[in-house]
Formats: sequence, structure tokens, C-alpha cells
Amino acid sequence: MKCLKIVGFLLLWTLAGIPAGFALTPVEDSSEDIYWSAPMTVHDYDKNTDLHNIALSTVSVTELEFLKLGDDLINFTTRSNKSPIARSLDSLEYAYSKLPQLKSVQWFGQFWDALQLRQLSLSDARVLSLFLFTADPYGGATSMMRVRADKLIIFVEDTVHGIDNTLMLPFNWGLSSLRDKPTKIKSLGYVADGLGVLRRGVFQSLDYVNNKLTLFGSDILFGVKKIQDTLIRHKRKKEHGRLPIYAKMPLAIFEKNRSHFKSKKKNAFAGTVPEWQARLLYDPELLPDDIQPADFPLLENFPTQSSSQEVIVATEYTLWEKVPRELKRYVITPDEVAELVRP
Amino acid sequence: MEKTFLFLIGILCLAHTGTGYAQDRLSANSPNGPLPDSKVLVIFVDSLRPDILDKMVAENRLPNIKRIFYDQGLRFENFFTIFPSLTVASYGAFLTGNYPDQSGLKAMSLFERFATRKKNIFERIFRIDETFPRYYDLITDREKAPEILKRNKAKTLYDYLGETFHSTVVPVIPTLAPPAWPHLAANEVEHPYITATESRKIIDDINGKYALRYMVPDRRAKMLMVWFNQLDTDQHKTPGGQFSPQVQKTLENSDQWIGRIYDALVEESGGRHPYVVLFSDHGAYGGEHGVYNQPYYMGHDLFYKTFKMNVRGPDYSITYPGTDQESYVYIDNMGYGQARIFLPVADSLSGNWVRPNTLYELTHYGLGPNRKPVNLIRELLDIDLKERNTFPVTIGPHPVDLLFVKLSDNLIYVARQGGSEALIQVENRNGILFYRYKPVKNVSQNEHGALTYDENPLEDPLGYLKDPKFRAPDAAEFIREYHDSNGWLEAAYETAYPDAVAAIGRAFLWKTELAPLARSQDPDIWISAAHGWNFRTDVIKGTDHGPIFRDATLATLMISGPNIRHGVDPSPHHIIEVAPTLLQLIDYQGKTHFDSAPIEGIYEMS
Repeated sequence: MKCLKIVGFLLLWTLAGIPAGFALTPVEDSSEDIYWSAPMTVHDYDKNTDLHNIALSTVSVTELEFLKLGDDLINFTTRSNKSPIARSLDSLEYAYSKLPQLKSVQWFGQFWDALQLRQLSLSDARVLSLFLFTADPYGGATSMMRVRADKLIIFVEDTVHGIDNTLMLPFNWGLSSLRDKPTKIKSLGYVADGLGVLRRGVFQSLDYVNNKLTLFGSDILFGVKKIQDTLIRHKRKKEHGRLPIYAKMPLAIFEKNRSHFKSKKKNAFAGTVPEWQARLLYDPELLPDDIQPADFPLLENFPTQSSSQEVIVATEYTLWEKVPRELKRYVITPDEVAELVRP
Repeated sequence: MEKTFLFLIGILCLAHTGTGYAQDRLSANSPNGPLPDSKVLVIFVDSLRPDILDKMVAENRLPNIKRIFYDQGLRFENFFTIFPSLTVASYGAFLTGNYPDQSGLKAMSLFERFATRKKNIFERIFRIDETFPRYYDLITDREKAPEILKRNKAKTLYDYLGETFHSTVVPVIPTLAPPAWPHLAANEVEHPYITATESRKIIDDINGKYALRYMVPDRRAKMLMVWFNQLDTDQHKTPGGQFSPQVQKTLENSDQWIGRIYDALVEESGGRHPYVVLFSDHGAYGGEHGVYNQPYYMGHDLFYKTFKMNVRGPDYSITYPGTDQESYVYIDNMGYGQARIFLPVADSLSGNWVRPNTLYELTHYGLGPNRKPVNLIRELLDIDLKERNTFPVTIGPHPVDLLFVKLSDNLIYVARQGGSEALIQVENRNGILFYRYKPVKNVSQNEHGALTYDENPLEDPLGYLKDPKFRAPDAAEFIREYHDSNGWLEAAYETAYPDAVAAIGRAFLWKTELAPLARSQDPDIWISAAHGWNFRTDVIKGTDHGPIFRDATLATLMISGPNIRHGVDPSPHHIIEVAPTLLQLIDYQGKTHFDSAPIEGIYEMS
């Protein structure tokens, strides 16, 4: 039961934070497109199937007002769009608003409004039942319950203020006349003021906690999405792991990192620009787009080269992914390779 | 028992008579000030252009706005927002009554090169790592903007007023949504099983209904803030923008809500009229005569394709396979009419994010070991899209109108395509900022930071020297002197770049207490789009905001209510003047930290 309650709360808090959002659209042939690189994510607030949206919409269904559901049911069975319950209540409220605006009428109106009876929904029923069964003092607060509590306490504050005004009326009237300016001294009003301060403090704290928990709930959903993202990345890497990556670096750098390019299963080709050009002459159809690194064994030596000489390296993505970070700055695009090796 | 009950009823009836007495005594009318114990209803229509409002009112399509603000009340013809003309930043200026240098809320996206504060206790206990550089979209990460304001100790209207400030969902809100708002949204949508996506499409209706149901009856509230956002959302994806009848229908819908909320508030207050303020956070550009803004995907076309750099933005990312994914340029293009560019120091692959680049580094910017350095300033200003310009007769081929670089804490470089340049110098004199705008040419900086330039008395990037609308007997002489924000606004408000000098200054500066944030959060380059262009990432024909020129910064402000004079105020005003004015209307007596005084001369006898 406790667990259910936590889930319920998380979902509700998520509901409070309806965010606008953007989905990332990958550019063709970019790392995001091929490998679903971060920050690519399945998170997309515009999709109805997004986990955040599903959570939010699920909670929303429990927020549907009983009166609205009743009207919908009547509308559906009578195939009309009259919403008789809402209309009747509207008429009643309208009639009430047309009563002479005596203070007592307003007082009752405020009390009625504080109850928020039209807003009763499944979410209240759910939380009330939890409240009854678990006797947990924090179990009864949905967003509408919070509104009701707030409005009811305000109603009490206003009522106490009203009583105070009445009790102090002769005194204040006399004092105002004597001083020739409006003067107001309170008695019970201080109790109402104190209640107001307490109410604001409590609700501010609750709102703060609520905000934090909403974000925490959202983070949990993001955690689920991260798992999904990781799975997609893994799958994409498997599918496109053999795609070639090109890099141009000084020979000295290459020699220093030569060990990273050796692998039992995977291999790399490295050569100077003239060597690449020679291979192109030998098989002009081969490079750069259709390079198969397995066809080009890694040379053990680069004879007759000076240390300032640059080499072009071609590797499979899965091999290149593991090379030290400082080597990644040497990556060049296939277009640039084509430009370099063009005889 | 019966007697006790009757006694209680009697007390309660009398109780409210007492309240009535108190109100009668307070409502002494003074025509040169606000009515005591008043409420203010603030209607915030996102991006609303004042000329569109005038046109639609003249066509009798906005009957409620007409009766509240045109048949009575005061309209401000020259009301300007900050730069960048973006929702979160502008609303932040409105909400705090502070320029961005005071609040630290400078755009719609936050980019941090490195940490500028200690981790909080929670992060320390659980050893939560923070990785830098990092960035947030302040629209999606809604909790961030209030956090920034709180951290920077910028007080907002909701801080001053507490529970007497009641708003719908707005761009900057301390709680994620008002408590009853999600419940209302769930019951307003047509298909509750997709509330999440559907509620965003009818946010104006939900906000309107929320105002009617929860704000109007709120007896505690002194200031009611209602946001209508759909106009802005729609204009971004409609070629005619606010000039199109389709988008104007959104405004007609807002007008209906404004009428209903206003009438309900009057009824709720027993016939007493509240103060009503209609304002927009910024204007919009494009759309007139069918000329929409053409997208230039700068991140892709220039930085990714030409410079071979990895690029990231608030809602996009393009990287080359095999490269270091953490080496990138960050381009914040939010609002689409401006872009803030953040680069690693000296070289796109340096991975060094300790500070913004110097002008020298930007003009000799490295692109890694395999490519030649480029002059980013020239490259950006010289982007030429004549081959794909759909409107060659009316729209120029260069998408970048103006470019800004911060050279030091009090010096900003301004450049325009074609070679005109200027320096904005800022001086703090006893807490008041004074600005000097110096037209120059041939600006350059050597690697040691020494700046050289020639004075240029003939041409300036904002065009003030040649603009007959620049209100100074001798523009050149005026420009030679330092002036405060008001001085510059008075002089330039009729030009194509009203308030630009102070707005650029404030966009880059930081108040002393926030100065340590500069190195982490200042952009390397800030650009403002030219008419007819934007920096979108998708091919959508629409209209936008964000730039510094007139259409984007000219916003709407109207006030109506007891003792407010009727007519049009042609004098220039700034968005930061609104918050103090609002607090004056409700007779707020607490201490405030505004950058401006209330607007003068709004009352009948003033």
C-alpha cells in the first residue's frame, strides 16, 4: 500500500510540472544519427507515447471530476451535448450570485467555494481511501486537497477577522472619530493573523517539498529513459561498428599510440599521403568511402619517413572509440580524406 | 442551543459590516494617485505587437481590449524591452524591475563553462557529480529561472507580494504550476488520456479558466497575473506571424478571456474597478506583406559543415562520428532572432573552458590540428545567402545584422556587416551606469590583449550618426559624451535601434556581486539577426523575436483603471519601469530593489 502511495504521489507531482519540450532531430550522418550519441534521447514531450506524458496523462485521468464524468455518461447515452449536471449547477451558482450581496451570503459563498465540491474526482477518492487505511497524516494531500485546505483555513481566518471587526467596531469607530483618521485595533484578529502566518509557512514548505519531489519523480522517469537510450546506443554501435573513422596525425603521435590500433579482431590502416595516393592509383574505386580496414594491414614500419611526416589513419569505429581522448582531435571527415589523397 | 445559533449568525452578519466600514474609510479618492486598497489585473500577452493591437481594435475585432484600454486608460506608444528580446529574460526584467546585469537572468538558456558556486549539502552528502560545461533550456527546465533569480538575490514581484501575488502558469514561477492548475487542465482537455500534449495546445484557455475560477475569487490577491502564450507559439510557425488572420484569431480568443476575467473581477469586487495592465514581454519581427523570416541553420551550415566543428544548442546537437563528443561550440538560438555563441578557448578542440575568448582569439580561432584558423568575426558578418534569398528585393543577403563581443568588464565591441564598428564604454558613477558609444574602424587586438582602432566620425553600426530620427541637435556631439540609460533611450527611441546602447551594455555587464559569473556565463560572441532571417534549426516559415532592432524590442503597455488618465503617452518607457508602477498601484509600502522609479504622469491630475 505504501509503495502504491509513493507511485501515486510521484505521478501526481509529475503532473504538476507540465513542461514544454523539444525533441532532438538528428542531422544525417552525424554521430547522433548513426550512433544515437548523447544527448540523443527517447525523451520527447511532444509524443503522446513519451513516458513522462504517459505518467502525466495517467494521473490526469484520475483528476477527472465526478460531475464531468456523470455528464459525459449522460451525454453519451442520450447522444446529446447538453451536460445537464454542469448546467444545473451553473444555474444554481448563477442564481446564488444574483442574491443580494449581503455579507452573510458572501460568507456562505466563500465556504461553499472552499469545499470545491464540483472538483471532487477519483484522485481525491484514491487519496482519501489511502488516508483512511493507513492513517498517515501526509496521505491526504493531492493538489486539490491542498487547495481545499488552503481555502478552508482562509475561510476561518476571514471569519475570525469578521468577528473581530464586529467586536471592535464601537471601539474603532470611537477612536477613529477622536483621531479624525481611520484607526483599527484588533483583538481576535491577531489569532487570525497568526493562523495566516502559520498557513503560509506550512504551505510554502509543502510547495517547496512538492517541487523537489516532482523533480525527483521526473528524474526517476529520466532514469528509465536513460536505460532505453543506452540500449539503443549499444544496438546502433553493433550495427554500425565497422564504419570507418579517418584521422590525420603526426607520425610521432601515431607511433606513440600504435598499440591502440592493434587488435586481434580489428585492425587499422595507416599510411602517408603518398602511400594512400599509391593505393588509390592501384584501386581508385576503393577509397575513401568504401574502405574496409581489414583489407589494409597495419604497417610495422614507415620507412624513409621523418618524424614531422603526417599519416592518415583509417580504423573501424569500434576500435577508434577506445583510443585515448587526445587522439580524437585528429579526426577528419571522408570529404577531407578525399581532398588529401586526390592525386 | 437555538439562541446560541442565532447569536452566532448575528455576529457573522455584523462581522462583515465591519469590513465594509473599513473599506469605505479607505477609499478616499485622490486623482493624482492610485485608489487605495486596489487590485491590479495584469494581462500578459506574449510577444504582442502594439501595431497589430491598434489595427485589430480599429477593425472592432477586440471589443474587450477596446473598452478597457482604448475607450479609457493610457497607452504607451514607445515601450521597450531588453536585449535579447526573449520571453524568460524579458519577463525576468518585468518581474524583478531590474536589468539583466542586476538579476543575472540574461537569456532563455543558461550555459556555464565551470562551477561558480559550491555544491549544496545534498549534492555533497550523496557525492553527486556536476559536469561542466553544462547548459539548460530555461523553458523546459522550468525550475531553473526562479533558481537563478533566487541564487542571484534578485527579488521578484512574487517575493515582494507573497500570497497577494496570484498568477496562472507563467514563464517564471516559483512553483511548477499553481496547485489547482493541473486538475483544471485535466478537465479542460478534450481527450484526458493525452492531457500532457493536449493541454499545451490550449494553454490560453486553461489559464483563462484558471483565472476565472481561482484567481478572481481570491480575496487575498492584490495582483493577478494572467499569461496568454498561444499568440507567440503560433506566430513562430505561421509565415505571416501576427499579420496573419489565423494568428490574429488567437488574440481574439485572448480578448474574450480578458473581457470575462475583467467583468468577473468587477462583479466580485462589488462593482469596484481594478487597475488593469496589458503588456507584452517583447515584440516580433517579420510577417508583413508575406515576408516571413528565412531560417539559417548556422550551427549546421557554418560551424558543422564549414568549420567541421561539433555543435550543440538548447534543442539540437550535431557531432562528427569518432570525434571528442565533449568538444563543441554551444549556440543558444532561442527566440530564433539572436544567437549566443560559446566556444572553447583559442581552439575548437582545446577542451579548455576556463574563460571566454579574447577578440584576438576569435579573429584567429583554431579549428584543431588539421585545419587552418579562421576569423570568426568576419566569417559570421560575411555570411552571404543571396543564392537562397527568397525575397531579394526587400531582404538583404546577410543573416547577421549586428555582432557583439565583450572586450573587458566595461567595454563592448559592436560590428556590422560592411565594416562599421563601434565600442560601447560603460562607467559606473555612484551606482548609476553611464554609456558612451564610440564609432570606430579597423578594430583589432594583438595576442597580448592590446586593442587598436581608428576613430570613425562618419559611420556607426547602429546608424545613429545618419538617422534623422536620432533625437539630438548634433548626433556626433551627443555620441562623444557619456549618457545614462534614460539619456540614450530619449535620444534613440525613434530610430531603428531604440535603447540599443544601454541594452547591449546591460546584456553583457554584471553587478559587482555577480561579477564572478561573467567568466563562466558570458558568451564569446552574441549576434542579432537581420530582418527577414532567423537562426532556426528547422525549415519553418514563421516570425520571431530576440534581436535588438525596433520590431522585436517594441512591446505593448497599457494601463486602465480608477484615476488613470485617458490617452496616449508618446514618451519612451522601459520594461523595468512596470514593476514599480504596479506596486505603486496597489500601494505597496515595503522595501524594494528596482532599477527604476514608477512611470510618472499616469494619473488624471498628474
